[in-house]
Amino acid sequence: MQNNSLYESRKTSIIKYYKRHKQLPTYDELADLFEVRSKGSIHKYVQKFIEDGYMDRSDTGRLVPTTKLYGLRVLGSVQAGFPTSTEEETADTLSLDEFLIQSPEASYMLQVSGDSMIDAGIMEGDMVVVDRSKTPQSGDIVVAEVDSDWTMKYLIKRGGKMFLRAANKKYPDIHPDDELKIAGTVTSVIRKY
Amino acid sequence: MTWTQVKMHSLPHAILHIDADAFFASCEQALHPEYKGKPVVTGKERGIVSAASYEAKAKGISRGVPLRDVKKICPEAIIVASDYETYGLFSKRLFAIMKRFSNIVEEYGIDEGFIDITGLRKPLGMSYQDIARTMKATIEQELGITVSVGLAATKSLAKIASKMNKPSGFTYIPNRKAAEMLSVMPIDNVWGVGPNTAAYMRQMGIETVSAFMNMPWEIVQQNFTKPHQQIWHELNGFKVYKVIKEEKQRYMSISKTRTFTPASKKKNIVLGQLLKNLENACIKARRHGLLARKMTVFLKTQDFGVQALDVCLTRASAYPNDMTPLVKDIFAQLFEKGVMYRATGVVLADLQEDMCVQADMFESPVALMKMQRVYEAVDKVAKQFGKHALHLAGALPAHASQHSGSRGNIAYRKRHLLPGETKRRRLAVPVLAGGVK
Repeated sequence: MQNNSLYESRKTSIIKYYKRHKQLPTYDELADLFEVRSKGSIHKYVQKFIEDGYMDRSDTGRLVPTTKLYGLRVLGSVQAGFPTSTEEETADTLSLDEFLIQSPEASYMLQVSGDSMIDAGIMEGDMVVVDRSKTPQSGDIVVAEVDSDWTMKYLIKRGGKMFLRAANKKYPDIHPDDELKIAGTVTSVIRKY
Repeated sequence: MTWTQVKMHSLPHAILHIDADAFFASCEQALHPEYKGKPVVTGKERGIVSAASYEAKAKGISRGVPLRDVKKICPEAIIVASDYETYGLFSKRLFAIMKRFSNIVEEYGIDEGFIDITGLRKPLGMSYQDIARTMKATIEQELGITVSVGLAATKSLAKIASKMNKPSGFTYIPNRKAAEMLSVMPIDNVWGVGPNTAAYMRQMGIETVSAFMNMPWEIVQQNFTKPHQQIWHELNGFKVYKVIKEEKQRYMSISKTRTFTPASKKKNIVLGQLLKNLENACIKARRHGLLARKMTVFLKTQDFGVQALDVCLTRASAYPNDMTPLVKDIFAQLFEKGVMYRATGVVLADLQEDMCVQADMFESPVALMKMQRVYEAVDKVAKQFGKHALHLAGALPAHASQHSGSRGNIAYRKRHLLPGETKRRRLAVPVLAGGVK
């Protein structure tokens, strides 16, 4: 029990190290991290971590993390649920955050209610990411402020005029009386099951 | 450099002060389209105004006004519970945008900062005034709130400048025009001049900022102490205060406070509330793998007074059992018989990672390990049976009255979770409220 919790706490400290440095520690660094001197004892732990699938050894002998160690990575050609032992260029991967949100300081979330964008594949309950920093173009899906409510529609520019169009024939176009107050451009749709 | 030279040069340094307008209320208006153009007040959970939108300010409502008075002064006011999590996200974004322009940014408050843009005309390809305007426009577009901006050669002047044209103003005070522009500005408006100094200055016949600026240096030296001499230099365009680019503090403090209704003068109830706050703060610390070395305990009275005491812990901790004796000690010093209390709070500070704890010299290491074990178990039980499934007996009165606060006192964001979010953890992205049709 005592040993087991030491194993867990050392695992946690490795994960913390990895989060901070984006690479695994060397044996020397592990000695500092575990506050031990014996390389033999470190080796024992490393073997156990490899056995348990938390890390692996690269061709050059360096320790590399596996997906089991820390988080989810989006890898171009890997099928979901199919683990790989090949070394990946982690620098070339995007976090899901970066993938969904281009401008982190200007992006907002919004939950969809109603079915006015159903033909664009956006359903009630979906979440959309709205970017305030982009200049909306004709044909973009935008979020606008209409009658003190948020509304999400296609933006159409025609003959110097702008109006909003639903992706559902049931809804008429919205022609603003004066200025069309666009809050931002929809850049992603997220659906949780 | 002589004074006259400084004065002839309009901007020997270029310092910006950016101050968000009615920040908390503006965040609410940015997310709720139905609040736009209307008097909005935050602070429902505290019973007093913590921020008032400009529409509310126009009706005479300001920070600190009790909400029952708000209802009298302005019955149509929209009163909402504060959502500090969202304001924190806006604040982070505000500074992130400032840092796109200059790496010398001082986070002076949650909603205001100083930026040193000296020497950035060439790299940014803009005049100082255009840099200021571009920053302002970028913040306003990306955050949907307005800010007021001051540009001048020193922090003191920049801070006055940002106040001169609120909301959503931009004011530039060149050194050679400073005295003229500040000729009617009351001396109290200067950063660092408190009510006492202002009164003293008025006795000397100094009513306005420029009257102070125009005093001969010898007289200033004779009559004022160093801090005010520095202000005199700053106002005359000679930079004394640096824009302090803070070392990124990795962890802020953890603060838990709760107003309870009705207010109480019963010792066990007030202490119970305090212990529950202690537990909440510790839960949060443990969740982030942090331990505190400093703790502040405060009590708020019904008439809006605050009593607080700080203590240093002999050993870093996030275990309520550890800290209870200390808290009880402080409580005994703060609590007064017969006084009505409305809120208590605990702030954990000087946080460190829960990795290498230096044990207290006089404590048995076994006791510490036991404590860690106990709270591992407490957290496990909480995971399965809910927060506070196991809690301190002393906190019992607080748990018994848990539901006396109305649901309306919880921030909108926490009442409307996105799919996959929990009561404890939400996406670190502000959510446009009300859903989209």
